[in-house]
Formats: sequence, C-alpha cells, structure tokens
Amino acid sequence: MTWQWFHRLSSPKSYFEITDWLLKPMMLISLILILAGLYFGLYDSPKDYQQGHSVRIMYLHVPTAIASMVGYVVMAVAAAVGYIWRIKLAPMTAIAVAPVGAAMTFLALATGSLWGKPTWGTWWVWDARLTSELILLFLYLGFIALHNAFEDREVADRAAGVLAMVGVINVPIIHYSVYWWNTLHQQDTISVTGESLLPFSMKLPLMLMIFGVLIFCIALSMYRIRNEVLEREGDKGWIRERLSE
Amino acid sequence: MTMAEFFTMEGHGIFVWTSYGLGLLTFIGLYVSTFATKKRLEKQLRRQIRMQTQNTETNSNIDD
Repeated sequence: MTWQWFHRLSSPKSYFEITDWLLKPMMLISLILILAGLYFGLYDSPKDYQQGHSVRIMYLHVPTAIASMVGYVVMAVAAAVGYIWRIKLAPMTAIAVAPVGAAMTFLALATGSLWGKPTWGTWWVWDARLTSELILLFLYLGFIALHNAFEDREVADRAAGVLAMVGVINVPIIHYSVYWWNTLHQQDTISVTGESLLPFSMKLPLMLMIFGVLIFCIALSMYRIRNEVLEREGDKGWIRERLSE
Repeated sequence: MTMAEFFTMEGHGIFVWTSYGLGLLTFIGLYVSTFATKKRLEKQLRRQIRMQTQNTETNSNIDD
C-alpha cells in the first residue's frame, strides 16, 4: 500500500526524529517575527485617524483570533483522524493543541474587550462575533475537561473527540458572523484573496505578528505532542534509548 | 513618536499596554508549562529506567 510511508512518517518515533531538528529553528523564527512585529506595531507605524493609538491592539488581537480558529480546526481534524484511523499521533495532537488554542481564544477576547472600550465605548456586547468567539473558548475548555474526566486515555480521546468534531461548526459561524448578522464588530479588513484595506505601514506589523504567533503556536503544540508521546509511550524501547543517551 | 507618546499612547496607553502585558504573560505561561511538563516526564522516565536496571542487576545477582 502507498499508505505505508504515511504510517511510518506518522509513527511517534519518526515524529521525534523530524521534530528534533525542526522545532528550535521554528521557535527562533517566530521570536524574530514577533519582535519585528512588536517594533513596527507598537512604535514604527501610524496611529489610526479615527481610533488613535488603540489601533495598535489590532496587531495582537487579529493574530490571536486567527490562531484561535486555526487551532480549533486542527484539533477537530486531528480528533476525527484519530477517531477513524488508528494513527497514534492524531489524538495526541488534539489534546496537545487544546490548551494553546484556549489561550489564544482568551487573548482574542481580552484584547478585543480592551480595544472595544476606547473604540465602541463598551467592554462587551452580545453580538454574533463576540458571542461565537466566547462559545469557542467554552468548546476548548469543555474538550480539555472532558478529556481529563476519563481515566482511560483511549476512551477520553474518543469522548472528547466527538465534542471537538461537533463543535467545529462554530468556526465558520465565527468567521461569517460579521456578514450574516448586523454586528458591532467590524468586517474583515484584510483578505487572503481580495484587496486589503490597510496601508502597508499597518499591514507589515500585522503580517509579521500573524505569522509569528502562528509559528509559535504550531511549534509549541508540537513540543506538547512530544510530551504526550513521552506520557503515553514512555515504556517503549526507543524512548528509553533516547533518554539514556 | 516621542517617548512620552509611546508610553501614554495619547490616553490609550492603559488599553494598549494591558493588552500586550496580558499577551506576554499568556505566551510565557504556555512556554513555561510546556517545558516544565517535558522536564517532569523525562525525569520520571529516567528514574523508572534506573530502577528497572537496578532490579535486573539484583535479580541476576540472586541467580548467581
């Protein structure tokens, strides 16, 4: 079968071998991107003609909000893969990503609130965008709590995996909420395909921060997957060899 | 941008700096917890390996 290479690649052992040389450069790149993003975002970029300097919150708010949704999709897909096929790394990925995604959701909500006060005059409104993002936080926390509730890891993977898969419906709702409903939250300013409404001086720090935050989250999640492997497969010979080196 | 403007953000400083402060704390928290778990697991497994090799050594001594 042509699937064999995939199975071999997705074995915990080759995962360790690949990530051995991959993770440190990724962490370094994310640090450089974030530091450059902070320099431009907080210092070397114009204030908004309407919002003043509070617009600088965007350079943290948008990246964490994107990471919160990307993280959930990764978690749900990993849970589904683990549910359907017997790939050990898949359910480990789901539980490794969850706390990172929850943290990003928390930051998106908190920075949004801190941006809303000077801009809208309120910390919070129950509009569709804010409410669906809050539901995302509860989905992450529910996944983690449900996973912790079971002694048996495989049962935990399956039970929490169902929640992750069902909850993924919330992600397109978050994304399209600003178009489907009349929200206080603005619509998208940047776009992958269409033209962007931001001047370059603002787009630069935003892009640096988006990629910096995403790469940091990916690398950190990959370290967390390694922790999951250590926890679940610690009695395997290859792990013992690694540790006794 | 002047130094004063950088810190006060013309009245928006409290919102901007609280956001980035929270961000910094959250990122550091994630980083620290991830590597603390790594350390704990590695220590735990190394101890297990040590105990097991000791056990097999004692057992083989008894066999002699």
